[in-house]
Amino acid sequence: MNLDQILLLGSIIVPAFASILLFAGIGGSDSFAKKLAYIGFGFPFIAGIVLFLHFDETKSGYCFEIFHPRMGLQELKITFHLGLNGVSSPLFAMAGVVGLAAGLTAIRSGAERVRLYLALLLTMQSGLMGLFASVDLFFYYLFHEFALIPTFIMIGLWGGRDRRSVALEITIYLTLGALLSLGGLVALNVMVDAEKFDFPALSEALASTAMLESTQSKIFGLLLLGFGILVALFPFHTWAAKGYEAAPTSVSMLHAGVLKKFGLYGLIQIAAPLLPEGALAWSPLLLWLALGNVLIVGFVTIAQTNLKSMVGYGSVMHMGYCFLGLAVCSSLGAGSAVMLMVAHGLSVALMFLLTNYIQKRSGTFEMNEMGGLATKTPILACFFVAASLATIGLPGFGNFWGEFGVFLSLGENPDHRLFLGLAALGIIISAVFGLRAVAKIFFGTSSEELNEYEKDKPILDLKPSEIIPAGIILSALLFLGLWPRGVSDRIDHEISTRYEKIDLAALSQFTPACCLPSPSDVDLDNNQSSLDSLEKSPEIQPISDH
Amino acid sequence: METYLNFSNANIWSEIWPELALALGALLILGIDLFRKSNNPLISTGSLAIFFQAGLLIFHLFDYLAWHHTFDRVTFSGMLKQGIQGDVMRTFFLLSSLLVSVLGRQYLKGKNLRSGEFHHLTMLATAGLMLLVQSNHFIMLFVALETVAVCFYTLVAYNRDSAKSLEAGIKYLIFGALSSSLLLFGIVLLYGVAGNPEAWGASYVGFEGQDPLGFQYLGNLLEANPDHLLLRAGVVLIIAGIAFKIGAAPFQIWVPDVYHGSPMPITAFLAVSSKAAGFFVLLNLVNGPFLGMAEFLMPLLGFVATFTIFFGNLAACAQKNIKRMLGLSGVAHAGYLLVAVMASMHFAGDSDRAIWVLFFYLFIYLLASFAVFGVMGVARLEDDTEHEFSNYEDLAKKHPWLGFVLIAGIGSLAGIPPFAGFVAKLLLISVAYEAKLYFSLAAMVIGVVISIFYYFGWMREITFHPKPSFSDEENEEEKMDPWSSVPRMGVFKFSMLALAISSLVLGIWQGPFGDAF
Amino acid sequence: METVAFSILLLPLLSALITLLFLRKSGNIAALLSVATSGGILVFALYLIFNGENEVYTWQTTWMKMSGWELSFGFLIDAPARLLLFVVSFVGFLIHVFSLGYMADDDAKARYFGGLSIFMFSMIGITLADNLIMIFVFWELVGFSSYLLIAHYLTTDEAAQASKKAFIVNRVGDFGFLIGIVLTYWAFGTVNLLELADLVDFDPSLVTTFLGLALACGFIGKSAQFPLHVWLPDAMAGPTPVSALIHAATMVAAGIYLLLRIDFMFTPQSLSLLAILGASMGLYAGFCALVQRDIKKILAYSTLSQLGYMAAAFGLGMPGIALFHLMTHAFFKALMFLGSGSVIHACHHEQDIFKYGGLRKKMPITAITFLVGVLAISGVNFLSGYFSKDAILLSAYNLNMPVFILLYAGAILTAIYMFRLYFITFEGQARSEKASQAHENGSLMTGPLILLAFLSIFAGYHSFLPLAIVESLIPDIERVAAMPNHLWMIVLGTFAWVAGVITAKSFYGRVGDVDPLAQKLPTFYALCRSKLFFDQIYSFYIKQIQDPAARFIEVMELLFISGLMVRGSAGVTALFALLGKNCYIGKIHAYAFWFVGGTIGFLAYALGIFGN
Repeated sequence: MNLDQILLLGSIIVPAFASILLFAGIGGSDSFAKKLAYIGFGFPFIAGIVLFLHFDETKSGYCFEIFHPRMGLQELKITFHLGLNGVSSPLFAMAGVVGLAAGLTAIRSGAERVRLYLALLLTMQSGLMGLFASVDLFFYYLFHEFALIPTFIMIGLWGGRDRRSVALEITIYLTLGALLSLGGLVALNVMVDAEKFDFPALSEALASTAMLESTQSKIFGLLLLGFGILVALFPFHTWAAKGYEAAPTSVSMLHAGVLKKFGLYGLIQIAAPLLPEGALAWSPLLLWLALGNVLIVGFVTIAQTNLKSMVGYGSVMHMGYCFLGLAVCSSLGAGSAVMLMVAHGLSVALMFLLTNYIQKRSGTFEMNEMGGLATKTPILACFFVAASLATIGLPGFGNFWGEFGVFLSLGENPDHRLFLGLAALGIIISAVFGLRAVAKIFFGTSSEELNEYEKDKPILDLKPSEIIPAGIILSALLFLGLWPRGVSDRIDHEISTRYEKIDLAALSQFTPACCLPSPSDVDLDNNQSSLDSLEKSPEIQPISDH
Repeated sequence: METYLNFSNANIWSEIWPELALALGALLILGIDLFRKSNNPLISTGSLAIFFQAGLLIFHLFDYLAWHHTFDRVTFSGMLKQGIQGDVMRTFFLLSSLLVSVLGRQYLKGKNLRSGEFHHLTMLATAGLMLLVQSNHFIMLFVALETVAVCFYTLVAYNRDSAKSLEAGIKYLIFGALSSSLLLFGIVLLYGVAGNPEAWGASYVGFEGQDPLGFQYLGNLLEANPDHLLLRAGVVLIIAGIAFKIGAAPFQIWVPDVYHGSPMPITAFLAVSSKAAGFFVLLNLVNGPFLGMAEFLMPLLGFVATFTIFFGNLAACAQKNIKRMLGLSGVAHAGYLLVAVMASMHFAGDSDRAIWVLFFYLFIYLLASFAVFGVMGVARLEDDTEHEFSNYEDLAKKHPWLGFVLIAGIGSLAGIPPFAGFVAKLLLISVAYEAKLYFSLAAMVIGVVISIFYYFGWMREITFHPKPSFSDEENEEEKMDPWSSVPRMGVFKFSMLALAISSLVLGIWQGPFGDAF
Repeated sequence: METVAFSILLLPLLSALITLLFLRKSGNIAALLSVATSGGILVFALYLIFNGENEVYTWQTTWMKMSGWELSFGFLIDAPARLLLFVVSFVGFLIHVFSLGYMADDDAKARYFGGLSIFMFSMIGITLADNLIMIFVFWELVGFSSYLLIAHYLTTDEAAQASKKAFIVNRVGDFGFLIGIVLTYWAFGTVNLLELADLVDFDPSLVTTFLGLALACGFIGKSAQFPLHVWLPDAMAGPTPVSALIHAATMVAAGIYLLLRIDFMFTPQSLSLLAILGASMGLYAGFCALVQRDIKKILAYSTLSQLGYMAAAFGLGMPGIALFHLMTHAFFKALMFLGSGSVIHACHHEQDIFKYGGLRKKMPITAITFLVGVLAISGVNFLSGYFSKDAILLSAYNLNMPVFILLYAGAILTAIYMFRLYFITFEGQARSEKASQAHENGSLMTGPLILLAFLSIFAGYHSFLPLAIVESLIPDIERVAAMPNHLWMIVLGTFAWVAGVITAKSFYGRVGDVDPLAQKLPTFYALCRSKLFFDQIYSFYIKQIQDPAARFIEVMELLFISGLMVRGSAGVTALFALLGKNCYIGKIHAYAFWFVGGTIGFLAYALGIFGN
């Protein structure tokens, strides 16, 4: 077991162990609890970064694998199997980064009963790391569910407006989604007789014995419904904004930023590659639903005046792009969706963090009761402008690449061009609400309420302890934006191997608009050679043989 | 001499030594309780019972592991049948009665009730249950069942001071009698036909001198003519009788009232042991004698299961009283377990997997239920049948360990990861899916989602801050804190924590329990 | 070579970063750093221009790769790129210097100069980019920096509104641009400019009108052409040097540059459409400028009209001429903006021209240089504007008569409103004590004015300029030179500006503080003031359509999804729950009936009543 594997395992064990210590009440003082929490959140962060750098992009499949056949239900062929591949490694790193930021915020939050708060948050964190690290589908699901009870308790204890009812409502909603997706996974487990319940084994078994198209679409539908609820796919999105509005900041960061990626990760990494025909069968409906996310939820976002709920709805809206990327059923779309997931996780977490900072200073979430904060808190304004432009999808931040890739993939199939046109409206919509928020909060003159509030509580700029978490996330976003290859290469490598089948299937469904040689084939000197290359151009092979 | 030898050869008494030992122990306790000073006793009967049963449990486990009977043995000339499944269930009952004694010892403190009879009856009932699960003959089955029932009638009404307890006793008595009569009538019908098949137009199977109530013979008979009306009537009546025991709709109606009234440990005992026994009997029957009628019974059981799941969960949502709520949730669980029974019928040949899933579920249910009822037993209320949600406000803050145990129990009952209940549900779902019981599966999923409402509604009271109450001060004064007397570290606390931790660990790492026997 | 290109690109980014991280508090150092940076850019740019041996230089590396789609980060340095690079770096440098004086007493210098640096970075990025996606990236970034700089005076509400408006309206344009890029990629399999050009002349039938127009949406948004022109006048809320640099000389001109880069993507139909669009813009903006009182607004509208001229030239198939006019316009419009800046600075941020007057004596340098600019833009013979503008007019006259008529009317108008501005501002008597106390600014501000004035006079003589810069203009200029009836055009052109001057003199020779046009032709004045109600239409859309729609959809969502769907199912559950609860009345008889019913049901099933 080399260092990398130890890091991988530790990123799950260390937070869990820390939380157990806190629950058990070891070392009474809060200061000790905070020290412990630093370790518990710091280790996954370091592990995420190190493993991100150590990841071997050239070799396909999983790196740093850990495998324990005797752990887990043999009855269901469940084994304890950890590892990172091209898709999960960036998400794993993202979970570490966001986790650290959320943890630092929680440690500095000064909530009462901070021990319990940190313990629950650490439980959630270990679950999040495990969810992206696990190859086995059962543990992947189990780690996700780690967050259920902690979220419930944290919303209930440290939450905001009408937390009691919201906590119960979203728990019920999420359980519904979780059970449906569990049903889908069980169906997969039963229908495919692989010797293990993880992706490589399943795909291997499916390669030998193909599954009926009808069965595929049934199982995929179940997974889509379940995961869709968990990712707040339209029209199952109402829990999200409500929950995030009520939840304490760190929980919103982790939940909206990282946990919500669970469902899409499952669909993109597992469901679609295993059940290509099912995915294709559902893609028309999914396109419309995702469009609902982008446009309808987008308009709802414009109508929000409460900053936190605006951020919540905005995050739901942008998840629509990820769904579009999935619905296209091509490796380009899926890969871009993964890129967007990484960037989206970071930017949403940042937005919630800054929302909290703003609320601390202005004492309210109502955007109409703010204004003119930029002169008082220039650094905060700088961060907020950056964050909202990142969510809008400005180049230079990670989100742009994901969104652009999704748009590009939408253009491939002539039948999807309509969705391209409609979905691209989203860039205007998000610009509208994003910049409105900036203008209302930071520009112009400060409102009377704010002046009233300021009388007894002067408004100060960010403290270093507040800058650090935000800075970590923002720098990660900038890295993604300026050097996308840092993640796109490994994603591309993994996805394009996983999506070979689905790419062919999708291609054989329509005649691609592009019947021209790809630029590499074109010889710029004389057109004759490019005329030759026209015949042997890769794009038209699938059509000719179908 | 000759006769004695035959006698001893036919009846291998050593096979049922745990039951005998348990019965003797029960009598012993009764005797001690009789002949000692009730004030400042030398040794309390409670601890004695606990000690005794713990030892018995350990011995039985040794016996089981050492011998490891993998083959079925018919003893007592066809009356009993020992086998691996029976042994597992005996372990189950021993464990549960041990826990009942633990709970009872804690519960009976500070109540002016004699503890001797309590433990005595508990152990007798357990002995009866252990015989019940080995019964291979309808007479044996009925006798064992009645032994158990009589003990329970007394136990339910044990809290003589409380009117509710007595009312519960009456209700349980009446409906128990009703169900027994149904069961008996069913048996009689079968007997009538089996005794002289041709007379009733049934095709004759077997040979002369075959015991017409033995499972073996009845199995052949039913298989030979599965659509004989009288036989069918007998079968459904027997199932109705058992449905009462497991609290399956439409014979579930008694459950909340009886749970509500009876003393806390007995509620747990009812919820776990008597239900488990009912299920094992049902399992035995549908996989043994009634197997011939599988496709006739399947739809009936399917309907019963669905109805039970929906009724239990929906009715539980509206309950204010936690004991009633738990009773109804128990009904819902009975529904889930029925799905497993159907699955076992579906794999007629090799039903081991489904049966194992059922056992797994029962064990997990035992751990969770005793955790929950144990914590509830700690509460000191003016009338301890009235457990309102409000009594649990902020428990986790006042007494973290109680809160932890309770949350573990609830989580496990609700089937939320990482608690063991989730694994049980997962197994159940996968078995049901394999058995293609899609309809019941859907009912299960919906039921679980509904159940989140009341389980987490309770958890909300435990963990969240209480809603700001607008009652004035003196009102606060008179309102007594139910959690005034929380036991220090001892047998009780230890076993509670053990239950909680085991249901947490089993949720993540099942170890040897991870594969079927 | 690419190292130089990289250093040009990254130098400003670096200085912006340093400013952001370390120099937030110390504005003066930031200012000096930024100016030094722009100086460095100028040096590198000149090196790049004159060491290129006038050849097409390309260099590229993979920026991102995703399943077949490979995006390269590359440079394409050819003749047009060199020209724009020269304009951007030179004008940029002058304006940085000017800003030192203009923003001397500003309290957020660091933010201002940081923004300028970011702008230089992204503008140079557009100039050097070798593929459409990369252009789009920097396209968005210039939008961002302009947003930042418009919002410089962020305590004022109009700055907040204007910045928001500018960004969103640009987004609308980019929406089309984006779709165009995507479709281009799937139609050609590449977005690299050279490869595209190659593929097009390999098979011209690939180009469709829709594709060209979709791409042109980017130009319409960025160059504030009809109907997305509304943001530019509001953008004047930013500091004046910013208006000079971004909203006159370079960024808005980037739209034209984009068209030039992809001129092969346009079918004749789309070209003629662009020509009409541009020409009408030229006229429309002229009318709007005629009645403005705010000096910067006047210049903004004149910028719009000049951009219209460039678009028309491009539409006529004369990209070189468009670029020519872009260059000359960059000089004289920057000159005039800076002049107005110097005036505003001298008059303590008074911007209403009717509050000025008689400034020629108080600030002679500004006045004279400004006059040069006015003469240049009105096309007075043998100044820079004359050459470029008359080239456009001549080609229009020969190629497309309706366009010519529009443009010619626009030319006359230009002369009128420009001289109106000049007369009212600099002649006559001071009409406010601010104006009376005004005095000439320091050399930091006058220096750039003089240099720009020099260029505005002589930039027209392209044959004297180094070939490395103007190479791209030559072919089209020669085509125009080969066209008939030059003489006639000279007469017409001269007539246009002379007529303009006379009208302006007669109208605005001596004025009070009300616009004489408002008294003489009130209806015409009102019509021009209304700008054909575009702002009203847009605000109507936002207030009466978009926001109500958003609220309506929100209510619908609340009603149907979280209400009917979620709450509804919960309600149904609760209903059944109560039903179940009410089964428990506690009476033994009632319970017994359950048993009876159950037994009967079971027996009935056994007897096969339910049809089994």
